[in-house]
Amino acid sequence: MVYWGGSGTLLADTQSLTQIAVEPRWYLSSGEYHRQSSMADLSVAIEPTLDWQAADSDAQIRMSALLRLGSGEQDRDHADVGELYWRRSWSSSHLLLGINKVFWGVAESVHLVDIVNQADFKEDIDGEQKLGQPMAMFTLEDDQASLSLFALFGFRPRAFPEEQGRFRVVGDARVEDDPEYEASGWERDVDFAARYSSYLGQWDWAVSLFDGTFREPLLVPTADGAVLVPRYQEVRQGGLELQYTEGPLLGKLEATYRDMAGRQRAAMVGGAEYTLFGVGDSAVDVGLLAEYVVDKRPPEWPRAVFPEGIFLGVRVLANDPADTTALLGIMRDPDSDEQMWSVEASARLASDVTLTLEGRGFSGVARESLLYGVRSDDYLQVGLNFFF
Amino acid sequence: MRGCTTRWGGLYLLLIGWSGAWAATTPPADPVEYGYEIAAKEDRSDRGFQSSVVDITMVLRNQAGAAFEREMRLSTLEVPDEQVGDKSVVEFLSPPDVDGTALLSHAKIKEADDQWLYIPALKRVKRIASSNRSGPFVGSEFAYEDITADELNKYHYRYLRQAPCDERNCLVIQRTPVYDDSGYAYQEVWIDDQDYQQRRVEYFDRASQHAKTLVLDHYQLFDGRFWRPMRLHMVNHKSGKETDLLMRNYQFMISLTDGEMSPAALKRLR
Repeated sequence: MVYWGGSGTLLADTQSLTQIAVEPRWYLSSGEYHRQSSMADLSVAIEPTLDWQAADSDAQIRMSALLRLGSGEQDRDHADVGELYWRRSWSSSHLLLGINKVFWGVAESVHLVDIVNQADFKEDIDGEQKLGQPMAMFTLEDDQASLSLFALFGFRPRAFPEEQGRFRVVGDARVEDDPEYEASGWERDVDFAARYSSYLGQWDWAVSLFDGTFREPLLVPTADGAVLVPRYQEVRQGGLELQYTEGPLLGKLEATYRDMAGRQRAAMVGGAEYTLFGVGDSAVDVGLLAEYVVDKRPPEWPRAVFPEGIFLGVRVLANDPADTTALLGIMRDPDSDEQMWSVEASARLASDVTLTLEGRGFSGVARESLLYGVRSDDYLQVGLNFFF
Repeated sequence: MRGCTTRWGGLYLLLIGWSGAWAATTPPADPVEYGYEIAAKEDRSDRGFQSSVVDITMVLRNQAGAAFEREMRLSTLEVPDEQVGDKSVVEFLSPPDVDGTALLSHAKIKEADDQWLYIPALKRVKRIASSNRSGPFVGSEFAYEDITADELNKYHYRYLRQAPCDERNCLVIQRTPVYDDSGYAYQEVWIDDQDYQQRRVEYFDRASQHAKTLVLDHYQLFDGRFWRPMRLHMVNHKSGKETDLLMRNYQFMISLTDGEMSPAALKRLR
């Protein structure tokens, strides 16, 4: 066993933490489709993590996984290894091998630039929950800038809800289990990406490139229309992330330029967040968010949920010992008047127990909308999270 | 002696002691000049610690006596350039739901610090608005301005009086923040005349009411040069709430680089 020189502290450090979340969920209206009878469900998510740090701090192993059980008609039951990687650090470079999750972006309402991991739609449709991606990641870094190069191995297709339960985005149709791919051979199985990030004064920015399989599939109906075949296309994407921070004001911009299926198109989301500190002489901070999204895609591409959208949100930070926070937001398509609202809140009840509240709802959803299949799936969910 | 000023970004600011290698202070001729002289003495003595790391237990108590604890680790890198503030990372270790959350601060002289927050559940580093000097630090009775930048030129000083503090004699100075958005009209700082360490700070709010009192004690000398209080005890006289910061495992001159105090490096903490 290795010990810290002189101090007697155990040097090779192993840490584990398991979170168990008990999450009852209530739907606000009955389902639109066959076998969507339940108005409530109770699911449990188990998330173990394990960290191992080498004696000299130069090598690290991390594992985290998710297992969800007991959801309604089992439509959301699944397991995933989100992280299982080995990382070695040298003075200004770092190598990571294994399964990892990577986030790119600055916006709150949509994540345009973020493309390394497949979204875990069974967990949530907000795209912030991800499936683990096997990769080799090499990072060169100094105090001002960071350059990461990625080789991504194996493609994780998007999981669609079973033909039962809620959040059936494809309505009555069935999604074919075997997806089609534009690429074949190694091109299908290996994607490449790079990202350079830096900051200067009040500006934080990053540029990224991705060359590989687009994470969102085109759903191609068979002749009779009863079955949809997911088709994954090859994309080249350039991404830009920009944030300006001045006192209580954050200005944000994310943009992509994509080349896919012979078509090229740009998309952007931009906005601001303004924080009112200590509202009414209390400790509570209130942040006001506004973002505008344009992601209009050619017919050859998978559609965006919001081709155009205006997002308004309020973030509340109580700054109390319980770390109480809440985020309310509403996204609206100015053309169709379609709206999606969401609420997320959390507070600590005891040292090892937190309470979360989550809700989502839809209104004004037109038949041609991507959200049509989930238009009656408004829900509220309470979570009790225990940590061991 | 403005050139001798060192600025402290991060929690450790309050935790700093000052070695008393100076000759006994002369009696006050001009209280403003004398007040500045005392403050300058405490400020100078900590130069050259290069870097440090310390484990901190924060204990919050309400009026009913119910306690709640946070564990955190504070790493600090001294920046030799005096026009730029120091760099620090606070990594939260418990309660478990915030385990791995980290706050990076690049301290500034007069403007708000640059701050980045790492949220491990989303693997996301966010640059955050940090002009909130008077707001509470993670729900404690310490305001952000209490735990950052005790930089000499952030205040105007005035010598007030001598007063006994424990077995020592303290010089009490009034300091008035000159930076924007302070929650205080002024503070009264008790500095002992032997080692020139802060022993007590009384905070007066914008209405000049005595709002909070901080007691710094259990001082230890590290590397024969750097005094650090191992306990800081803050009482809020309005709410009756208290916060203790208990320090342990101080280490100085550890290997810590600018690269490790960058937003990109935050992602590797957990």
